[in-house]
Amino acid sequence: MLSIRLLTVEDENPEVIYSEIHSALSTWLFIQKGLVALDQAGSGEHPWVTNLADWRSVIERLAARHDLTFCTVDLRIPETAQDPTPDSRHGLSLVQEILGRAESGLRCCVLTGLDGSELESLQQQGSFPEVLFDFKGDRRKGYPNIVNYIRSQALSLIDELRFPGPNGKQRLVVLGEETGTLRDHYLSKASYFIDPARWHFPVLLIGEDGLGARTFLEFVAYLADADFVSLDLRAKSSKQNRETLRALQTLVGQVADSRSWGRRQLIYVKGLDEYQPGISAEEGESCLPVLKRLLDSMREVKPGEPCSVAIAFSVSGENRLRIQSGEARTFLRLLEDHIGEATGFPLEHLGMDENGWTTGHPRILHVPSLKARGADFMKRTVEAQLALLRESADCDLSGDPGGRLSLADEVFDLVVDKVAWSTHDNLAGLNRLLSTAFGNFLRDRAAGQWEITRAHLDDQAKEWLHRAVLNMDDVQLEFRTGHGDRLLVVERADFQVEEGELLVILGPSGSGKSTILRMFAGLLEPTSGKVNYRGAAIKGPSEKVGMVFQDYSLFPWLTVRENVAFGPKSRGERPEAYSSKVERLLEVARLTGFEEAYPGQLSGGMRQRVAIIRALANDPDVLLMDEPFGALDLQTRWQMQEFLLETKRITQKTIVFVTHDIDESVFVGDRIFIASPRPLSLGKCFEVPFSPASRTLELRRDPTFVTLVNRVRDALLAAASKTQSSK
Amino acid sequence: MNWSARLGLLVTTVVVLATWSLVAFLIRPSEAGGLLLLPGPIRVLKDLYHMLVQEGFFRDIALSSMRIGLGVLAATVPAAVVGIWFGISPKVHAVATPVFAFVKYIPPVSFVPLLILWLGLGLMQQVALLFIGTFFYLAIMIAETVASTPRAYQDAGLTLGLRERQLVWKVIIPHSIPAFFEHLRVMFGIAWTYITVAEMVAAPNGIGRVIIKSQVYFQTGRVLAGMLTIGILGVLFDLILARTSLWLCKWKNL
Repeated sequence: MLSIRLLTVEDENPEVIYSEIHSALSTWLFIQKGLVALDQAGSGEHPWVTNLADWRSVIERLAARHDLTFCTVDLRIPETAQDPTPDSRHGLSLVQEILGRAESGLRCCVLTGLDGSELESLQQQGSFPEVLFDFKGDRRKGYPNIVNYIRSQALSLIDELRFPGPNGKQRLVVLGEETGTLRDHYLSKASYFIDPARWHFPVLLIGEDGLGARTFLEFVAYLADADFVSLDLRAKSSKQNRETLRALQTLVGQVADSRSWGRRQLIYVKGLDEYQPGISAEEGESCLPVLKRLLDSMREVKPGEPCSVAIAFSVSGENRLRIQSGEARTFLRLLEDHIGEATGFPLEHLGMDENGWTTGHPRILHVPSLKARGADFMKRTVEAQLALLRESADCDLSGDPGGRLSLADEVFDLVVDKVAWSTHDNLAGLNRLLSTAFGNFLRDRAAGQWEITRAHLDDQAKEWLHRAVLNMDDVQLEFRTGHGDRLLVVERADFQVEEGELLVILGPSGSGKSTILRMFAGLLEPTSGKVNYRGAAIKGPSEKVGMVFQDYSLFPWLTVRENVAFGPKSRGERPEAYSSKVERLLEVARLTGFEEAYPGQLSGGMRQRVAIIRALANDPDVLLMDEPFGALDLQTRWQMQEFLLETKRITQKTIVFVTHDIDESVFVGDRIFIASPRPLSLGKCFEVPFSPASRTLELRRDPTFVTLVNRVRDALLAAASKTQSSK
Repeated sequence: MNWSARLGLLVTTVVVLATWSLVAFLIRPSEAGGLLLLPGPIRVLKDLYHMLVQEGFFRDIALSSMRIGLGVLAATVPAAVVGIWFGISPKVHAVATPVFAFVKYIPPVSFVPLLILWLGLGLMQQVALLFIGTFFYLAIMIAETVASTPRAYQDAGLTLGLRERQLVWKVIIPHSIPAFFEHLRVMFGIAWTYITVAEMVAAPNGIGRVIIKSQVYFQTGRVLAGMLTIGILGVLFDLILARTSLWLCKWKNL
């Protein structure tokens, strides 16, 4: 049975560690969004920090092979270390080097133990090495200077963070727990934080220090758009805990309500074993409901939005550790259920028995976001699942010597597509889909039939598959220039358009947004990747996918009426069949009286209304709009936006709308994708919370509207500077 | 045409005629029976009247017009087909254009000796000359026009449900018609040159023949009358084409 597993590596040989993690990553069913949390055992037997250079190579190799984007490095010095200085120094240089390498692919790295508090016990043992710095004024006067050395190194690390990495991506270091001076220093770099142009991987940190945590929380909650959340539930006192909790509630309240939790790339929970609510029940304050809410909101993660949960445990020397608080245990079980439900596969173990003791040596729990890793990988997964179903079937399949039971190509594609689109619900869906299909197959099977076909799928599966009207799967597009050079126009597009939504692609002019639409319209083929309409590859233009162009696309040699009737007429419909529809559309577009006019006689706004209803006359399933109002003056544009929304209310069409106008994107869109300048890649996605009825001129004065416009603008600027700095 | 334009036309005509008369008067032969270098307008009109009424000049006009009509028509249809073909397929265009440009630069009149040897002095020879003279120009011009059909129209057509090959009839040709008529007007202008030369070189009749015959007998008035006729016919053809274009493409002249 496939399962999500905890990986335990009981060796300090980097080669062994590498190959174990590598093989685990290769075979487990977590897909694409790789992350590894390496937690120091603290065990006297396996202090992994003994040789950081080896670890660097392990991490880098893993990152390169598995598309890892996240890693944690624990820099705490093991109690048994004789001389912590070299290790700490190595640790810092390790991180610096990893982050500095473009090819490593790591986008985020969590460092813990930087503050040196672990050294307290060492100090008590009186085993400190040479004095490096004289650090005065620190409130922990008793600390030896090795701590200060580490801190000073960390400070310089933070300073470096102001500069983008060589691959143009901002790097981020999360400093673990109580950070004292470091935190202050961090905050003093607030300009770095707030400047959205530089801000690619914002951080949320909840540390032991409740006050500091709150500062951070408020800070980030204000910006409310972190990609990464780290929850440190360790706490030594209930007061601190309460602070943490309040901060957490503030955050969850602000962020979960905006439903943008779904876009956290990663939620990292640590310190569960030490977590103590410590708050009286009467006060009704507890972390649990907040965490539940967090999990619930994660459950709403939409397909296409990566999300991961990582839980890291530390274990004691005995390799056993008790999850002390009942609440933490409940949370863990909740999480377990959640993961089980989300993935469809039971967890073998989360490293905890009934009494809350950890079992085995759980160091890594990897609950990945699910994303197709490639056709081969998906094929293996599906086949493995099929084999399991076959084994578990209690009916006679003796005619099948093995390997003959298969999925029809169509079904296979659908299954793979399903997994490819979804990041969260997919394994459960895949499992359900296959089980049902297999059940139906067994029931209806004719002798000698070994293929599960579409007929065996249940309605829900079919419905699920039709949820996305259009989708792009890892699409890349290159143009060949006249000199034979290749020009990368679309770097990566991977998203879907859902039934009935108005999806906006917002980006600067010339960023290749239009090419996205042209691919959906079937006017262009991607260089690699898939472009699908309702799950099937788009082979060419079709009347099901209508398009409205920026301008000058009306046929000037036809009258308004002839233009509108062009689609139905050229598809061979009889005039009596379409004329009433055409008249109605003309009426909707307030073009009565202009039916016999030529486009050259119309104003810009009227022309675009004709263009819209001309596309609608074909009764398309989806409408693609390529900066349709770009050439209009502001007032006309506003009118046209209202016309568009009105049309959408009437027709309920799915619309993909391309624009460079931020205000417009927020006014008309249900979701907004931020496109980077060329080569285009789609970055942040914003949900627009306004109801259709509230989208009137008044909305533009609404503070929520203004805030959202500002946030979208910040994201757009950030995307633009990201590309610039990578050039 | 508004009245100021009409006035302008009138004034220009009067000025031209007056200048002509003046020059003709100044260089008139000093004695009667002398060589008339430049006959005045009235003399030319008299000659023209004489030619039309007494010498059957109408027949020459009709013959020349027919030759032009046949020749240009013979070139237009294949040129349109070839031009559209070139225009819609860039590869063909790229290969054929240099060949066409090469042929285009050989003066068609230099084909006349060969054409006489191949086709004799009859209608075929003149039509062939006109064909050579106009086909290559026209094909290249039509190809350019077709190729310049904005991509947006074609994309719009495709996304509205047209198939690739339907684009030619539904989008490219409607879009190209006004330019096509412009090309035709230019071609008729060129065609008059060729037909006149062809008739002058080798034809038993036609306006060109009449002109060259008159030259031999120093009948400068008749030469000018022939030229005048060609001019009038050219304007007439042009007017007809312009009107047809206007009638076919109302949208272009809004």
